[in-house]
Amino acid sequence: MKPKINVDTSDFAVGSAPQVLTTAGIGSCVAVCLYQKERHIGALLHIMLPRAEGDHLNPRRFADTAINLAILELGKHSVGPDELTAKLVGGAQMFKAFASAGNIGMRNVEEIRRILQTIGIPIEAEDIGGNTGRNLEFDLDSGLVTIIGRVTT
Amino acid sequence: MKSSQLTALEHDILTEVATMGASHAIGPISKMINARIDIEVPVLKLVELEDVAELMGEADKDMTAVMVKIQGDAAGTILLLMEPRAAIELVRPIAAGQEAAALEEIGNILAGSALGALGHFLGLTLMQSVPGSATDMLRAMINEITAELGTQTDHILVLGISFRTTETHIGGQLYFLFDPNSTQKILSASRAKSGGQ
Repeated sequence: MKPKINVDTSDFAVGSAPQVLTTAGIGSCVAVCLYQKERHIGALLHIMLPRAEGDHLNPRRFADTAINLAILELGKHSVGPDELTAKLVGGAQMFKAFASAGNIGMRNVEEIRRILQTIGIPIEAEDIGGNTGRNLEFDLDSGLVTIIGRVTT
Repeated sequence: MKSSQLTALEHDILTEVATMGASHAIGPISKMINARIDIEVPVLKLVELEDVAELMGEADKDMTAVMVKIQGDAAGTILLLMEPRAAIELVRPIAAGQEAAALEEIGNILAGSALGALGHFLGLTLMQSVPGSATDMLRAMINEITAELGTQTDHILVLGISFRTTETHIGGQLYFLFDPNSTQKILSASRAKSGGQ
């Protein structure tokens, strides 16, 4: 069994092979998997909102501040942003009745794409949108991201 | 609200407000499903956004949620949360095969009754959105709800009321969620009402 590190909502973790980073219950939130392929080091972020509209709020909740903090943390492991690739998972609309262009899930995705582009981190894969929750595992050995959807009963 | 704590008086006022909202909401529902419903004393907590799902149950489990957004003078959410099987059992006698639609109608009616009563009592204009429902991972659903209230705050006021049909013991939870600004508005409206304590 590979050691697993669970990432809560509005948090992130940095790890390296053979660790597996996991997070559960991604709805309109977006999980961002950042990976350094050669050294098998990565970060998993569980982001709730695009940006803060107030002061002194949990910086790991918001796309801009959470990504900055994760990149700083990766820097402590001598991983620069130019060595990273990204995968995005989530951005769903759990309550279909409120589906609209301005939904939180898609606003999260759009803000994260914009930030990653500004930093210069290419997005390798995305599994976004829809109306269901997702769990994921990010294997730092291979960089493989496995998405476990809800089992419909 | 600067601190993340409520005073004993604020706690009492909000408990009373929640009880009033819930009892007005339960009556019409009871009539609609033709069954007596008992409600418990509200549980009131001010919690971090990220802890709301755990407060409501096993966050990784599937639950059925019906939600109505509160708009107007206060921003919040009314949430009906039930185990998927219980949700179906609750409405099957009146809407076999159309359970989701019946649950949304229940959300609609209970929000209308609760907000009508609260708005009148508090002298606030409280409006309701259309209802939405989903059956999915509790954490995934709740995080979407708290995210809407959480761009300006770390804390959410959660008023939870357990209910159960008297005869058939079908249970669930009714929640009112408010952001700190709205909690303050409700508190000052209550104080004004009761003679400016």
